[in-house]
Amino acid sequence: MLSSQLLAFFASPAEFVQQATPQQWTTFLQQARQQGLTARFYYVLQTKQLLDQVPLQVKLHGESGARYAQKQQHSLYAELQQLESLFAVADYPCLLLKGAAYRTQALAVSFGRLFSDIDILVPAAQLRHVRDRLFFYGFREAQMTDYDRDYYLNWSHQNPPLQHYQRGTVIDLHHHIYPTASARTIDITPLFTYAVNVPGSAFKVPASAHLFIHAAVHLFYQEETHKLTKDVIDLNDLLLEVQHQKQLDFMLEQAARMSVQSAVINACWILSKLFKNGAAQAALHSFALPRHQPLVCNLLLTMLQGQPARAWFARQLWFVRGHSLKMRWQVLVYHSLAKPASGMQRWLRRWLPGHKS
Amino acid sequence: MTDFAIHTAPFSVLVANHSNKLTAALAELYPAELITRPNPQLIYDFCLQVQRKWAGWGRPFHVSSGDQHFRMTDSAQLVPVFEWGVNWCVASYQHQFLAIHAAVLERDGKALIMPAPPGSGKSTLCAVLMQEGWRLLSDEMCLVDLVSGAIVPYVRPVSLKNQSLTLLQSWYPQAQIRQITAGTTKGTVGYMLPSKHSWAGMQQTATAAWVIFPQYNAAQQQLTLSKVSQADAFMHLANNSFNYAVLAEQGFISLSRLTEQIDAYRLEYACIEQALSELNKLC
Repeated sequence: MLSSQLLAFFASPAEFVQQATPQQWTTFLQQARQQGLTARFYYVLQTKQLLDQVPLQVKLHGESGARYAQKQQHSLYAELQQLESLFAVADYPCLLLKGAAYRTQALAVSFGRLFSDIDILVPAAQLRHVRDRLFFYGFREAQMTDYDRDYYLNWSHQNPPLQHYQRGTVIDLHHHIYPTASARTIDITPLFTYAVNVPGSAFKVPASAHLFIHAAVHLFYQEETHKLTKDVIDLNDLLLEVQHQKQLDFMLEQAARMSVQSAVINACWILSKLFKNGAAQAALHSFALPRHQPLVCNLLLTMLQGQPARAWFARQLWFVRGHSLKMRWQVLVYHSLAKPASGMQRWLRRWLPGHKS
Repeated sequence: MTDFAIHTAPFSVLVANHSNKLTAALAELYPAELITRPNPQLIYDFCLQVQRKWAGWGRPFHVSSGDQHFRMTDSAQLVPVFEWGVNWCVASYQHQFLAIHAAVLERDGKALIMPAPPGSGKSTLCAVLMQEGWRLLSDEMCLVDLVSGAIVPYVRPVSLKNQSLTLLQSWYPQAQIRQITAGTTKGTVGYMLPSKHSWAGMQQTATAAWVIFPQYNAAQQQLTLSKVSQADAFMHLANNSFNYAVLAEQGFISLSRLTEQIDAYRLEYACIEQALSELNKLC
């Protein structure tokens, strides 16, 4: 579903509040719920002192969302405290990524942001050790087919998701920020080198510049589109944070070093276009950078703002493009044949007489 | 395509609807003034879509809210699935009120709250009390205002299941039970229309006075009505709440206040007349 009202709001909250019709507010509430942004819009209204200017219904739904987000944040802290003793004895760096990292740094992007899991990055050599220790802490891998498990272990950048047997918390344990099956090699050493300590905790978080790079890589080098609007809104806030911390030059230099310039430049172009993001405009104009990729950027804009049929078609192209980026062609061909074959094999085992599952 | 809106305070729902059968069925369940064409001048709290995903008359309907899929159903079970879909939206997304899974009725401004798990006879007892003149606030969800502590009505048709449908009809032949659907995941489901004064008072709050935890037990020889301590009542209410944990401190404060202003009892019964007479003495 296209989220035009949401984009309009986050691009210019004051203007949207002045002009929105009741019909647009109805759509806005629905889109915010869908993208998990109800609490985010409430905090934006609060920060910009616009709460008194929105209809009461919008304010009440925003408050509802904020209460839910607050509860999630309490749960996040409670869970991190449970994990502290495990990581306190580790003699290697353990980094929080994405939502957990934003929250522990109290970045603006984290206010009202919802979590579905906790993302942790450890050096590849320690992945198995950390996973085994998490087993002793009550985490287990979700049920999945052998094929899917092999996929995670051999081709992705993380262990299969680990869920606590009692609390239900899900940990995505990463050893990289990008699938190892890709032909693209991203050096993530700087994430560890420049990581920032979380006061009073065994965890560290990547520098803001790397948080933005990670989010840009996630958006532009993969195929996921189900939370596209939220992803670009996250990127917008993250880039403003990078600028606020005076890390813009550092971020661009790091993007070149990690060979992810195209993702970062495309992200800046999109943010400049959608949100007139000052930091993005500064980045695009002040440096001798390669040009953005017009086809890729327009594909993304079509998914966000295009007519439904064109957006659907763009999503299919994005899906194919994302897979071709995150897997070497040999792996992609094998996966495209082996995944359906493995499904068919399971189906036959279930239905053919004489076979027992 | 017959889009419509339902204005059941405190929440309104905008429905993108592809079923004429649903429109006709809801016209039997809700007063005409509460079901209208969508009005672009109003903000709707929730949006539901009822549509066949793939063209063709034989295809099932999908009930969803945007990308959030609720349930798939054939045309015959569309009414109960739609009603559950509305409950699902409210239970999932609203944290404006403390919401407790309970039936609520009112007499003389005082509310009787009956929280209970499915199968305890809560809806049957609720329907009976409404037939006896109590004003229905809800048969499903007790909404507690976080600021004032008042019990806020959410009047909807009373959902009755299986045996209670025939029992209610035999006890109250004049009762209007509509849209009986067999073979749902909850068995046969039908809807008793709220009384006129329940609809009329759909925005009139009440003050919590009693909490009864009902338990129907056919083997029960004698009705038992036992006092429940405030601490136990608090814990049972919290366990039956949809969003107590989400509301955190506010939930605790709100539920503490509620518990302090009520008398709580456990009611185990086999005979509805005995239960009714006991409740009339108590309340």
